[in-house]
Amino acid sequence: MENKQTSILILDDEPIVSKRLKPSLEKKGYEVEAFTTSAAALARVRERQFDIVVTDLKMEGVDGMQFLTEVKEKYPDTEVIVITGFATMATAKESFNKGVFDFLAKPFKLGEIAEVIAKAEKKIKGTK
Amino acid sequence: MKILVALDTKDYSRKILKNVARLAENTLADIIFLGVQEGGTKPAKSMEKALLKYQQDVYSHFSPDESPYADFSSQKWQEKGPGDWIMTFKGMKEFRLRIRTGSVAKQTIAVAAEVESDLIVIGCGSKFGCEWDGEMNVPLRIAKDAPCSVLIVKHVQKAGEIVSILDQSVVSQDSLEMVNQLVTLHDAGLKIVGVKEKKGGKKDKIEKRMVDLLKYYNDRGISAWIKLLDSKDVKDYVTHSSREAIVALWMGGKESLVKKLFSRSMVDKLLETTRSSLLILR
Repeated sequence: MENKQTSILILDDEPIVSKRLKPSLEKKGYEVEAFTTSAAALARVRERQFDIVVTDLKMEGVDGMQFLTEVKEKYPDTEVIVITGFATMATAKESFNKGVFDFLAKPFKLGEIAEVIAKAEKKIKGTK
Repeated sequence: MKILVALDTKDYSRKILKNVARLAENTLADIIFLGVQEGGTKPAKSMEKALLKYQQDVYSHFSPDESPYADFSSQKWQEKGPGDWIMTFKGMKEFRLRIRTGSVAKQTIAVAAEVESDLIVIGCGSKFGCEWDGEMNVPLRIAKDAPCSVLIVKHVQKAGEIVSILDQSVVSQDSLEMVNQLVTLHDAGLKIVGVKEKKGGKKDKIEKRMVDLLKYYNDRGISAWIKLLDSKDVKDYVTHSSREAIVALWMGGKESLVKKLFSRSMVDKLLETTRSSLLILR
């Protein structure tokens, strides 16, 4: 695990989010796949496991909560980070009840999410 | 999200804590409480006492097992530099108390830039307009020069509507997200007002922007109204709206028509007349 590249899936229906995040995380050495529809992201997680999943909540079709529920059921040790532009106490509570690693309200700086991802990676590497 | 809250020992600062606590509860943001004192070689007792009390007030909104912040425990001030003291509470999210010496506006802007905050929240008194410790221009100076969005809370009340004023210039993603969080927080209706210039061919561009935004909100299940106004009508419209709604003004790019229309004196006037809050977006 020590030498394996940490894999990250990003799901946000706003293309600008992945456009900002993907290159920045790749520069830090992560393997990143980005999706703007939950259907495509779901299809991908059914094919393979990611170490870390970063997902928006409010999306057309399968919403982020359903998506992260499926991810955690299929891969309990995948760390999920929720990013949302419509944060509420209820969605934060529900997310944590489903076992998410962290909950970030938008807007946030790239440094903030990079820090959370680094913490999640540390947790994963520490537990494997 | 990182929120910087500028506070002093006055009543208007105490009154915004409920808003700050609700923001913290909903967004699980990192919080920095900043107090600025005129001078001194150590934190003034009155400022220290006020910030610790304010922190306790915000903590009291969370049940102990649900708070994202570290337990309220005795910490000591660390000297970060001359006239700069910090106390950090590290939980899942960070809560910091900071005291600096100097001018309130200058120090608030400096800390916002240093910590890369996404939002500055500041209260103000309403006796003479929107004053801070007897000075009329502190909230205005922060609104004008801050590197991020600024929420000036004048009257603490639940807003039924957020009125967002946009023009043809590029609106940052951060601004849209800030408006979204406020709409969610207040469970408020959203009115997007597009400003078109009196003459010229920018109408199509602003109309397209409005339709795109409407689609953006419809796709996310948020009910939004759009309205297009001539630039000559927008000041009256905003002044009227600001009495009850939270008005969000996009004051970003150099080409911003809203920025041109809402000169310093106009924003000052809005701060005087508003019975709610003003959000300056960047």
